[in-house]
Amino acid sequence: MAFFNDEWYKGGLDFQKEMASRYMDTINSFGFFPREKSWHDDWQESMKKWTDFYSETFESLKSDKGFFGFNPAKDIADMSEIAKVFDRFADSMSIYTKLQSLWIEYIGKVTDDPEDYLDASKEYMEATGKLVGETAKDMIRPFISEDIFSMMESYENLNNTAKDAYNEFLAPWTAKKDELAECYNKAMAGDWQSCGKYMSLITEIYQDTFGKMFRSTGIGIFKDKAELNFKTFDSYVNLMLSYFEMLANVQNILNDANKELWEQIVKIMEESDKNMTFKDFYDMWIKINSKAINDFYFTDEFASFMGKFADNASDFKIKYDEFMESLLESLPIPTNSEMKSVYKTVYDLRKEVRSLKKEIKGLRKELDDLNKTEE
Amino acid sequence: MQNFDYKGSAEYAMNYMQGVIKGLDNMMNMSADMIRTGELEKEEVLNIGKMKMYHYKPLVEESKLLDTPMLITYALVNKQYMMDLQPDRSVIKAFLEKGIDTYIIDWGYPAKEDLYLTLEDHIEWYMDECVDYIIEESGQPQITLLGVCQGGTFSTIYTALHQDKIKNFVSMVTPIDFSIEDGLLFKWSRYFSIDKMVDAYENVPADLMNSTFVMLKPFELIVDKYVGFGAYMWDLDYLANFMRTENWIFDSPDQAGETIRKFVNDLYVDNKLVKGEFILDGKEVNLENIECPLLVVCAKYDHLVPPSSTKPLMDAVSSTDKEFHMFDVGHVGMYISPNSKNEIAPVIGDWIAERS
Repeated sequence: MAFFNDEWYKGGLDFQKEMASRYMDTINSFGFFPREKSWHDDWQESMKKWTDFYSETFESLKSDKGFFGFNPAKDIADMSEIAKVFDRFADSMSIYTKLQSLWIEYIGKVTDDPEDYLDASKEYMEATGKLVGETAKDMIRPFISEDIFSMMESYENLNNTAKDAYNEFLAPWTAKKDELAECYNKAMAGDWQSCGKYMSLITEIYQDTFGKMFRSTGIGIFKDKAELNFKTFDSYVNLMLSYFEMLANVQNILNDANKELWEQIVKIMEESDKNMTFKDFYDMWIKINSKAINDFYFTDEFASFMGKFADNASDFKIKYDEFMESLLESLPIPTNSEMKSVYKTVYDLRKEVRSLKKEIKGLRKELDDLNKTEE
Repeated sequence: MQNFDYKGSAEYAMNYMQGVIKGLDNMMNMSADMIRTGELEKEEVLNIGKMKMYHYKPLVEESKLLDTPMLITYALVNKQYMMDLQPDRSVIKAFLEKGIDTYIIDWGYPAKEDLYLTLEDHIEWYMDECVDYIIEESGQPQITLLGVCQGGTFSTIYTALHQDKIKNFVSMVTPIDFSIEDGLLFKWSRYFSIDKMVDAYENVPADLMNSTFVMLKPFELIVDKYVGFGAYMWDLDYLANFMRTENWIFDSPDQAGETIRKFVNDLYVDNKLVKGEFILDGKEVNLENIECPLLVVCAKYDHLVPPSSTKPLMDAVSSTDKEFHMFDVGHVGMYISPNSKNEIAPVIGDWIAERS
């Protein structure tokens, strides 16, 4: 069974293509082109599929469905509380009915050719693996808010600062090219451990190449804005890398659980006389997957991925907001920072009023007591 | 060799889908009235900022009302009407029927302008004014304080600082020891920076909180819960109950930035409350200051606040009159399961009544 599903690759590769294209746009603006053009083209091509996954993931957030029914635009359109529950129900039904169809196909196949149950099990293990893969995306969404995903916009005006970084730029990619290819091929062949290694390598090389460039100091007329833009994009890439890293790990865990599920089914088929229904299968599916994900969630390893992902999401939002504010500075509208300053003043005033009210109340009481004593 | 129950599978699928079709028909014909929550009569008696305090209309004659009034402090996460979600399972109704004069805090929905509200403001300002109001209105020197979940932590802190105003303290599914290893929220909180999160989001968005809660048990809460719902949605009563609960679960306020910053840093990360290192408004919060009768209630299957986090309050206080009860329910089941009104609320109500 291949480790990656098509979606996974497609999305991830395009994401890297986006990174590469931005870099190339900048380099091309200097009128020269990398010496290793063919390598770059290959690399860019090989990354192509990866990004669809990313774009589809985030596109889905903007779609009618949103994520688990949380979609402000849709929620406004469907104010009814009932409609929201229906949305969530429909999402779960989509998984349930797909699982049911697979099960029906599977038992049909095994009933037609009872001797072939092992091959059929392998085939359907792959199919349910794909289904679990689809579900995996939804397993890792904590610590990131919807509005972050709405910020995934193209960044323009990458400027001249990449020039000096260029000579050093491709070296880490070239040096690790074989290792990357090896991990990639192994992952394609179903070696899930290579996937994690692949992600780590990508992250490491990014930090030495694009990362350096995007974190570099801006120059020129738009120095400040360019610098903010670079930093925002750097934080965006870090967010996406940690997202893919975590997704890869969750998917590994779920793939293993899926394998275990089918091993158990084969074992039951061989050893038990009990008639198995779809409900039995579904209950096993839920139980094994829940246990696998729950066990993984309790590990320090997952908590660490989660922490990194959450922190990267926060970093990205902070930098993005800063960048946007810098663009809005010249417009006659109050910025968020200015409004925060107003909120703080109002808060301080409310506290002061409360304190003065308490003081007045105390003084009134003292006065009343004094009057009573005099009487 | 295993046989597949083709007929059984087909029958099950057919029955399930028939139920779903009937359920969808039910859903389309539902009205907002059918899933209304918080139906007990109550009056708003105090408001400060977005916070409101309600006073429930007693359900017994005035002569049967207990002397000591009770204030319920709910969490900032989700809304307090869960205590009166549906008429046949209302915990508050059970309290009122016991003659307990009941008040409840509704923290409201913080907006941007509430970013700077602190934990101190919630406890030493809002809660304190509510307690003072009830004392003044009732003419009683002390009240019963009942804290739920995070509201229980607030109430614990409040009681430790103002023991003179509290006659009885009831702590329900309250996180006290945050160093535990058997709660995912507790574990994950140590691995990310709440400072960065508050700096980024200002108020922590409700959708983020909701998705985090759902992700704690993804297969159960994204898939299995709704598959189970599909099996019974043909039943109108079940459907209405499910809808009320579901709407309550996703009716979450944003979390005021500065409040959640201190709550996570001082409690989830540094576990200062049980260590005796927690400072609020410049005052040291010493749990040994709690001397009043104490009832600690927890849920055996609570994955949000496991009993291991709740129980340590029993040993941290100086109270001599103290009781601990663990019920066979989950965190939310404590309030909305069939057991809540018939078993759980009576235990709590009796305990309070004996001391009021």
